[in-house]
Amino acid sequence: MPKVTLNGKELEVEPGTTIIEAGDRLGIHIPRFCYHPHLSIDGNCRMCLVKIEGVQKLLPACATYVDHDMVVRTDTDAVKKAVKGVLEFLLVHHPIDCPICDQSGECYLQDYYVQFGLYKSRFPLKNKIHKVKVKDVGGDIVLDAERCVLCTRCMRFLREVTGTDELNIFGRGSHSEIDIYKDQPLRNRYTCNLADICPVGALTSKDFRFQCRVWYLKEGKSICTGCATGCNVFVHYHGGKVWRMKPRFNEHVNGPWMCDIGRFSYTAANDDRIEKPRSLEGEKSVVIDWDAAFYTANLKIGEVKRDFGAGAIAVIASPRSSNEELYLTKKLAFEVIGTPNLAFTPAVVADDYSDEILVSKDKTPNSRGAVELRIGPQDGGLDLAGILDAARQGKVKLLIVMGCCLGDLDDDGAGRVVSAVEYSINIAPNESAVSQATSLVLPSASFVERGGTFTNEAGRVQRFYRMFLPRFRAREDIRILADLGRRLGADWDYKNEEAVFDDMARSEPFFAGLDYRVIGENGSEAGGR
Amino acid sequence: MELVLTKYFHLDDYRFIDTYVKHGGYSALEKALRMDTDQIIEEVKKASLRGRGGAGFPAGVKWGFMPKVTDKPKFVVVNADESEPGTFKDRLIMERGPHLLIEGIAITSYAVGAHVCYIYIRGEFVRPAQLLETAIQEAYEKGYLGKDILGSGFDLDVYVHRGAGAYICGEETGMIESIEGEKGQPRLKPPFPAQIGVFGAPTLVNNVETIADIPYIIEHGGDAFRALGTEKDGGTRLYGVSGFVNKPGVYELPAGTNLKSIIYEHSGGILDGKKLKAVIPGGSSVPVMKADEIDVPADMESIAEAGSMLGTAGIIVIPEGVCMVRLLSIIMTFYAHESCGKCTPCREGTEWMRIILENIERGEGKEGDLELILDVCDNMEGTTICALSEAAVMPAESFIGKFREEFDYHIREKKCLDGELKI
Amino acid sequence: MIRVKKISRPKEMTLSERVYLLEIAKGLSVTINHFISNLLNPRKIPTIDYPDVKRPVPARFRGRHRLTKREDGNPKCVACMCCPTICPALCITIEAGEHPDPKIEKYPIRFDIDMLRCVFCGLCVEACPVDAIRMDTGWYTMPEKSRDDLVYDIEMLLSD
Repeated sequence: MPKVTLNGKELEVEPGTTIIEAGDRLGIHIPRFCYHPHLSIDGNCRMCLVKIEGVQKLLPACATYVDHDMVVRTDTDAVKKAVKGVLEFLLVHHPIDCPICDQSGECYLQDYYVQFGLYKSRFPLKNKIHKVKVKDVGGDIVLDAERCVLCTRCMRFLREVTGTDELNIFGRGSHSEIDIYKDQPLRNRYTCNLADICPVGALTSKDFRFQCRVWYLKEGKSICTGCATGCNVFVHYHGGKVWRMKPRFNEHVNGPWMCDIGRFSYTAANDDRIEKPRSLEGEKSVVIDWDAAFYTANLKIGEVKRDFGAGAIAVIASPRSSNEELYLTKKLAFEVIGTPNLAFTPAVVADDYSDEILVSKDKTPNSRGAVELRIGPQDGGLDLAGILDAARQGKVKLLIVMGCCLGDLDDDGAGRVVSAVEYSINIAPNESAVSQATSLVLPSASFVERGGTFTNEAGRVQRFYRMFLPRFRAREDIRILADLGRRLGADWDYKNEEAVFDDMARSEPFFAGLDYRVIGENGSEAGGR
Repeated sequence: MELVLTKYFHLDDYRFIDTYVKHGGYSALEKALRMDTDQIIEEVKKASLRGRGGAGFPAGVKWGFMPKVTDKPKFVVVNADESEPGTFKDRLIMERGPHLLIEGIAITSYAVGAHVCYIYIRGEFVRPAQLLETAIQEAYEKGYLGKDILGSGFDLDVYVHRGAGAYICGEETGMIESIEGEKGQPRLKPPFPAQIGVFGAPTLVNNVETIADIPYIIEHGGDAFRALGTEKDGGTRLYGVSGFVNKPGVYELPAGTNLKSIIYEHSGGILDGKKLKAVIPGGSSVPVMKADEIDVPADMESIAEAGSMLGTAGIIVIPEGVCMVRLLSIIMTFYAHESCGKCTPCREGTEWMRIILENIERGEGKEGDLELILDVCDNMEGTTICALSEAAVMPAESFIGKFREEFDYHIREKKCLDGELKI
Repeated sequence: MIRVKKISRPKEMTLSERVYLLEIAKGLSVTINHFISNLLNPRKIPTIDYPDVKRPVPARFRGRHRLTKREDGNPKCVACMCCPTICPALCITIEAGEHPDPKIEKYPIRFDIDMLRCVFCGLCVEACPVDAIRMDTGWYTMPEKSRDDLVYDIEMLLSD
């Protein structure tokens, strides 16, 4: 195997490894603009020049493969001068936009200027070349050609990943300018990745534009809830709000990318939240506290069971719930309440777009989990259609709905079904037609306010993490379900989702052999594989 | 003296196939088709034929890089994108003896096993392109191109590909991109064109003059060709002399002819009896030579020893009275305009130098500007994919190095030290 | 380096100090001296008729903030969030918006300073990259009738 000595550190690599990759593995950051580990190599920025012993010219580390016993240095005076020189060239026409640039704080130019530059400008301001600014190029992207360093990462992304090829460089020499073809805006569902891979502020996201400075943001690991693919994401949050999501590399699921549809699914954590438990008294909705809510729920369930039997109660689970929540919902329905009527809303299609790259037809994060946990009627109970029919006819006396949807019913239809039931309980994070019509509304936590696991459509169990406490007076679903179960007489001792998962791994064959603590960064394949 | 290329160029109808064949044309092809391909490459290696496109890489060695066994088609590309300021030799070949080129192409393609050849001709060469098309048509009709050439079973198709007017398309990988229909920008090397060239297949790229020399080498042998020139730079060369001389033009002379004698004897000396100030010996991209440095043989090695490069042998003669600041400013405007914009140092550096030089020329130069140019040069040198940044750096460094007093005077006094001649 | 200066304490009170009356008379004489000299020469009195008369503040005095304007009257502020980032009292709230003029691009829709929290440290002025916020009003008293009124908004800050 080829061996490289980089700044005195040795590393053996497999053939075909470039110096920049070896550097990344050794923790030696070689500055780069055009190099991106998941795009082809172009070698145009010339920022990664390194000195290889025995070679007179400085060579680009991104395009030079490690050869046997190669000795490379990134800290010689010649390399430092070349890097500083290239940085100066990149900055001669760069506008002094940092105060209003969204990239500011995560910009390669800023970082490298502090690290390698720190020179006084030698270029007269009046000679700066001006290019197009604030141009809406379609998708979620605003273009500022003046800030561009012409690294062509965006072009290569559009050519190699989406295959749509909308951006190109126009002009020649220092008048080169990145742009779309005339009247042909970006037309793919992955445009936000352009803002991610752009090393400078040339391509920025419209959604995130001027929203929050990046240095305020904290980062948490999560799973995108936009569809059943289960892309791994970083959630960026600040002040109890989620501001944006970025893809988190997982070679088994999404690679380094994610789609725009999923990216904007974060708004569910911010907007239209149910703030406090409330009860519908007549026509009026009254805010109550949690104890009163549980007391009422317990009382009503007991009454219905006494008067009509457990068969008059139906539970509809949500494919937006985590595996643990679904498991607990099932236990609650079958073991505690004792009703056979359990169903879940299958694929909720809000946007019927899907493609071969990442976007799945199924727009919920955990349908596979619900299927594998066999969320469905037991011993001749009613399935989803049956429950909805029975509810319309008034045969269901008490309906417990998890989440915001009832099958593929629209707002009007869902409202009518819920209204037709004598007493209904909705446990959901967001307001919906269901929550508007239900008798008892219990606010639950959003996906950043609770932890757990989702099973994606390929059967990979992946963890998402809690970043901050539930907002308002919402509570984690696990806590709500466990408290409700205890009130109803179950001897449950679930302190958190980890305890539920352990229990589930013991009793559910699909999750057998999995350990909550060992499901790594990249998730684990379930189902005994 | 034996002329390799221009022997019959005085004949107006030499460009037609009948006259060409009458004067011994296509006999080398017939001979080559009976030879072994390795033998042909061996002859070319023996001939010490150096590439005529500027870099001077030995042609035989380059041919040897072409893989013998490959599952891909192989291509030959003829570089007729002659855009170097001061160079106009290839146009002469294409206008006066296009069949020399076509015969050379046929032999070269046979030697490296290519069945398709592209002639990449610069867009502004409208007439040469038409003449080449006509000549190719004639060659097809007579069976020197196309299927089963002269009954040998060797097939070859030749296409003329016209460029759209970019200097950088004369760089071999930029040319390959352009042929593929991409924007003309150089590719990273390695892989070299001999491994991955046009459409991902092995490709041989040679200059027009290099290819046109091949028929002579096959006909008379590599040793005879080498004997015309020097040991390491064989054969004759087309020296294109331009600038302030009495008889500007293309002169075919043995490689290694004294540079001074090219200017004073063959080209008839300096116009209006002026004194010589400087010579650019190989097209605008090479370092300038002062008048007292030109008494050297004009071959690759000797000129390199004298601190410059023979390049494309486009000799630009500069007499006293030409302002060197203005000249460098013109040269730099050319490079800033022609930089393709791919690599950062060249894209920004050429434009930056242009701005500084323009300021100096306008009389807005500042103390320290020359140091700034030299530092910019230093940052551009050796940091890019292709040689365009070096091509801009070499004249800049040598002009400032050798004529510093003119630049200093311009900055200080805001006018030319020596500039009564308008350029 | 920390320097230590030793000060000697008075050892024992003298007899005249222990007899209080004498010291009291000494003290009163200082007061009376001032009284008489002020009476005879009222111009030298250091007190002023505040709030009718105000003391001139030094040039670099940090008073109430103000936002500066461009030539066309738009605020200079580009809502870069440098001042709320540096502010140790977390008293600045900015909400950015898209300006119709692409040359300006970003501007503050909302710019509130909570004067009740402000500690007048001047770091916001130091941090500002475009000289949009200054504390050169020389105004240091900000009486208002309610706490809400002490959260100064952008109109107020731009008004002078």
